[in-house]
Amino acid sequence: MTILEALELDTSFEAGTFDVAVVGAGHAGCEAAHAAAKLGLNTILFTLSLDSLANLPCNPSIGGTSKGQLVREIDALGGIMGIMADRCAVQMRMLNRSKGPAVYSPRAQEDRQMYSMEMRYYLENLPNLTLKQAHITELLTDEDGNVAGVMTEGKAVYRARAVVICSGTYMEARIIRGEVITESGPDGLPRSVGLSSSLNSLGVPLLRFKTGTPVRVNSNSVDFSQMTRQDGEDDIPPFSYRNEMEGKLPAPVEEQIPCWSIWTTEETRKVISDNMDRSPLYSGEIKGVGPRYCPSIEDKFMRFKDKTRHQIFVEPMGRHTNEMYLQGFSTSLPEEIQEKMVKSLPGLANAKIQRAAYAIEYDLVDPLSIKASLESKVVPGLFTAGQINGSSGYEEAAAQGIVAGINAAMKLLGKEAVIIDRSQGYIGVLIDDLVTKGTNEPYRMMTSRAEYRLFLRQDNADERLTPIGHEIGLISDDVFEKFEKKVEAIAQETERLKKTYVAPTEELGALLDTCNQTLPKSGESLADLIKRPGVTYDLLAPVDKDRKPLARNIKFACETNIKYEGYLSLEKEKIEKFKNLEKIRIPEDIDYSLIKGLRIEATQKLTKMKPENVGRASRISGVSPADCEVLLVYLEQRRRQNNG
Amino acid sequence: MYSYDDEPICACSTPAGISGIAVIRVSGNGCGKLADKCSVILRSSGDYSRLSEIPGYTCAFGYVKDPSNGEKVDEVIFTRFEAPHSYTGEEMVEISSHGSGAVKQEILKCLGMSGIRMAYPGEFSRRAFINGKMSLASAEAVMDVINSETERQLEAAGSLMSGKLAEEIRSIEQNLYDQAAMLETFTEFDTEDDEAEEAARLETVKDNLSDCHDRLTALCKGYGKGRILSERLRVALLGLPNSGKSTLLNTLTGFDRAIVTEVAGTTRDTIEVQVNINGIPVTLIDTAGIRETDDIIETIGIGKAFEAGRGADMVFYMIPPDMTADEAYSGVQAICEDCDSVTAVFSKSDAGENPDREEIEKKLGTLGISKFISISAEEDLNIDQLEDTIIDYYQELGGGASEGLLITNSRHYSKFAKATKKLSLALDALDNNLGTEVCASALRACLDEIGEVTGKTVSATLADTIFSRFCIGK
Repeated sequence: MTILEALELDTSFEAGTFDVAVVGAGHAGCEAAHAAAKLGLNTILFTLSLDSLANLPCNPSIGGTSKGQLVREIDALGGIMGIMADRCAVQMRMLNRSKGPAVYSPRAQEDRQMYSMEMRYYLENLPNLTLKQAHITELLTDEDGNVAGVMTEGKAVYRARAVVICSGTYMEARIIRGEVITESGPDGLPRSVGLSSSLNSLGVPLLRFKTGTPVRVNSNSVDFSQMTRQDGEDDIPPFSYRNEMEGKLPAPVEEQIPCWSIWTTEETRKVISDNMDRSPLYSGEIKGVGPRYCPSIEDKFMRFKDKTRHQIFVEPMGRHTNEMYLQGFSTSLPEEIQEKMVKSLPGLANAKIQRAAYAIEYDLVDPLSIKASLESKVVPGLFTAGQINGSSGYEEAAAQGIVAGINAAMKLLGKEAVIIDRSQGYIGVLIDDLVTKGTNEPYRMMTSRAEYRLFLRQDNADERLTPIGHEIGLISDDVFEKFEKKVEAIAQETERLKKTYVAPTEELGALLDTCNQTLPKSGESLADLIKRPGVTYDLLAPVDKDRKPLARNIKFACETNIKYEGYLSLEKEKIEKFKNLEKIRIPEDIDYSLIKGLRIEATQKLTKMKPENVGRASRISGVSPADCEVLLVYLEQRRRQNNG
Repeated sequence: MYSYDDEPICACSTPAGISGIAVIRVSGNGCGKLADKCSVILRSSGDYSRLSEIPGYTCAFGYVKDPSNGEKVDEVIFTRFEAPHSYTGEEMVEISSHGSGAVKQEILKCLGMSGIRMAYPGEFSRRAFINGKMSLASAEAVMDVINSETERQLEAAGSLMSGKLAEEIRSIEQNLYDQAAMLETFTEFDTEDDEAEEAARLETVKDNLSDCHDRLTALCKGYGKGRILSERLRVALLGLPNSGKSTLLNTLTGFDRAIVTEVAGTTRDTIEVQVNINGIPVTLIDTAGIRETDDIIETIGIGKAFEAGRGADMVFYMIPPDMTADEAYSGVQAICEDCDSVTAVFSKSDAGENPDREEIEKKLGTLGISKFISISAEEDLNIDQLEDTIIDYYQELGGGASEGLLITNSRHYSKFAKATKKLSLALDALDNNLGTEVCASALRACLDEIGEVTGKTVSATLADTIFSRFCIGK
C-alpha cells in the first residue's frame, strides 16, 4: 500500500514523521533502534507489548558456543546486548574450557524479567528514540516503491525513510500443543496479523518455519538432591569489553545461582513412544520446518533410536521467581502427556508445571531476497533482522539487528553500507550464509560454520570490530583510546616474548619438567618455550625476570597468538585469498544475460541473487570457478569500455 | 574453494599427449625466484648461476631438478620475460622440455614443490586480459578458453580419477569428513557422554586420521610409479661389454635392432626400443658396457649407461660366465642405490655356468638383489622367466587387473601432497592437546586440498554430516 492510499482510508491519520521506524522490540529490534538512534537518526521503536520488550521467551540464557562470540562482537561494534547480559546475569560460565581457545565461549543465565525492564529503561532514556506500543499491519511505500512508512492496526500512519522489521516469531503465529492449536504469539502475547501479507503484496517472498520451547516448573516442587549441581564462575571476562576495561567483572560465585543437570529415564522414553501418534509433527499438523540442531525431545528419541537417554538442564529464570526452565525438553506433545513426561524425570516426580511446552509456527522472509546490508532487494529502504530472516536465537537476532540499524542509518546519511565479512566475525558468517545460501530451517550459529574460526575468538572481537564501530560513531573516542592501548600492549608483549631468551638453567628445567618437556641445550626464547605443549605464559613467570604485571586478557592474547601461530597462519593464508574476491565489486546494474561465457544455471542464479561482489558470487551454489573467471573477464571488459 | 590471487602459476601450454618438445609456462611476479629452487643453469648469455638472474628475453640451457633431492629431471631451455612485457603482463618463465608426458608431469611437480601452483583453467588468458595485454575484443575468446579448458580438465580428471584410485580417494575423503564431523561435535557441543567415553572416541578419531595420513602418504609415494602406467615401463640392460645385452635385446624385441658382434664395446650409445610384453608397454634400454675405459667415445657411452640405469624402473644386470664375484659386485653397486628392482641375469648359459654363481648370489644379496635368472638368449632359455619379472613388477605397481592405486596426474599429486602436510598438522594438534577446533582447522585445510580434486566443498558438506549422524540438543 502506498502512503497516499493509506492516508485516504477512513479514520487513518498522520501520527508522526521519523527517519527510521523499527517494528518489533526483541533482541534484533532493540539493537537496531539503539544503533540508529545513537547514529543521530530520529528513530521510533514499535512493540506489541512494552512489558515484554527484549523478552527471553525460550531459554533464559545468553551466550554459549559461538553465541557468546556473537555477543562479544555486538559489544565490540558498540551494541547493547553485552552490557545488558552482564548486568542481568544470575550465573556466568566460560564454556569449552577443555577445548581450545577459539571455542572458549562465555554463557550467562539471565534474570528474564530484569533483562526486559533494564532494556526498556535504557531505551526510554536514549536520545533520538521513541518507544511505542502498537500493532503494525502495513508497510507503506511511496509512488516509486521505496519504503515510506508504516501503519498501525488503528490506522495511525507513521512516515519513515527507512523501516527495519524484526518480527521474530510473531507474524501469523500459531501455537501448537498436541491437538490444540492457538492463534497466538509466544508466551501468551498477541501475534502480528497482516504485516506478512503486506510484505507479500510488495513482492517479498515468504517462508514458514517452526520452533518450540520446553515446560517451566516451580522450584518448590523440585527435588534437587537427585540432580547434579552446576555452579557458575567469576574468574572470567564479562561479555562487554567496556565492562572489562572498567574492571566490572562477573559477580562472585556465591552470589550466582546454580543450574542443575539430569538425564531422561527409561520411563520418559516409554511415555514418548507410546504417545507419538499424538505429536503434531508426526501427524503432519505442523507444516513449518523445524530446526535440526534444537530438536524436540520426541524428535531426539525418534531420530536417534540407539540413544536411550538424553541430558536435561534445569535452569533458573530469575532472582524473583521460582520458575525453572527445562533445557533440552522442548515438545509439542499434548499437555496431558507433558505432565507424564516431566514426572518421569529424576527429581521432578512431584513437579508443578507453571507453563506448558509448545511449538510455534511463524512467517518469515526468504533471506535470499536480502542484501548483505540486510536491506531488501525487493523494497528499497526496507531492512529486516532476526528470526524474520530465518535465523534462530537471541544472539543471532541481535547481531543482525545492530547491522540493520547501522545500515538503515548509513543509507539515510548517504554513506556506504557496513558489511562485516566472513573473516571479520561470526556476524559476517551468519549474514553471508543467510543471504547467499538461504536456509530451510531456523539457522543457528555454530562455530563450525566459520572457516576462519581460530581468528574469530571471544577474546579478540574488539580487535576485529571495534575500529569499525568507532569509525561509524557507535564507539566513543574514549573507549577507542583504551582499546588501542590494549592492542599496543599485546603487540609489545608478544614482541618481547619473541626477543627474550632464557638460559637453560635448572630452574627452567624444573618448570618444563612439570609438563614433561625437556630442557633445551641452549637458550630459547620465551615465545618458543610457550609453543611447547603444556607450557603456559604463567608457568614461565619465575624465569621471566623482566615481566611486568599485565591484565589477564593481554596475557591470554599473547599466549594464544604464539601457541597457535602455525595454525593461525594457515587460516591467515586462506583469509588473504578470500579477501581478494570480496574486494571485486559487481555493479548493481549488471545484466548477466549479456555475458556469453556464463553457463545458464550461473546466469539464472546470479540474476536472482544479485551478489555484491565476486566473492559472494563464488559461494552461490551453482556458480562454478569457471563462471567466476568468466565474470572477472567480463567485469574488466566493462571497466575498460566505461573508461574508454 | 575457488580463490583468486596473483600467486605464481604454472601449466603446460603445449597440447596433451606425447610430442617432441613441450613448453611449460610459469607466470606471476616473483616466479623466477621460486623457480630457482628447481632449476640449474648450465649455459647462458652471461655468467649467471640462477634462473632469476638471466636477463629478460634471453634463453639459458640447464635442467630442472627435484628440489627435494636435487635429482635431474630433464634438460631444458629456460626463457625469461619481465613484467609487464610478457603474455600475461607478469614476470614469466617458459621452460622448453622434452615432450614426454612423464617429463611434463615431473617438471610441474617440481615447480609445485617450489611454491608455484597449477593454474586454473584459462587463468593465463584471464590474467593477460585483466592486465591489459589483450584487446577488448578478445574478451569473449578468453571466456571461451576458460570454458573449453575447464571441460578438458574435468574430462581428464574423470578418466584419471576412475576405478580403484577414485574409490580409494573417496574413501579417504569420506573418512576424513567423518572425523571432521566428530571433531566438530566435540567442539560445538557439550557431549552427553562421560569423559572416559569421550577420550576413547577422540582416540578413534586420532587412529582414523593417522590411517588416512598413511594412505595419503602411500598415494603420494606411488606418484613416481604411477606415471609409468600412463607412460611406459623403462627396463635397462646393464653389464660389461660383450656380456650379452644386445643379444638379449634382440631376443626380447624379436628382430636385430642392436648390432650384435663379438667385439666388446660395439654399443656406444644407448639404444631404446619400445616393445609390448604381455600387453605392457615397455621401453628396453640397451646400454654401453660398464667398465673403466680410456676410449673417449666409449666414456660418453658409459656415462649414459649409468644415467639410463638410474632413470630406469627395472634393471637387468648381465653376468657372463667368466665374471668373478668381485667384478659383479662392483659393477652393480652404484646402480642398486637408485633402482629398487635389479635382476641379476646369468647370461650365455649355453656357454657354460658361471663357476662363482653361489658366491655372486651371496654378494649381490647384500645389495638387496634377490632375483637371479640364468638365461641363454641364443637358445631362448628362460627368457619367459625374465618376461615374468617384468609382468610381476608391473602388476605389483598396480598396473594389472585394474588394481591401479596410482596417481598419474601432477595436479592431483600436488594437492594430495599438500593435503598430507596439513593432515600431519592436524594430528600434531591432537597429540599436543591444542584443542579439537585447532585440529579441525588443519583438517579442513586438508579437505580443501582434496576437494580441489574431488570437487567437494567443506562448508557445504560438513553441517549435513554433523546433523545426520549426531543427536544434538540445545
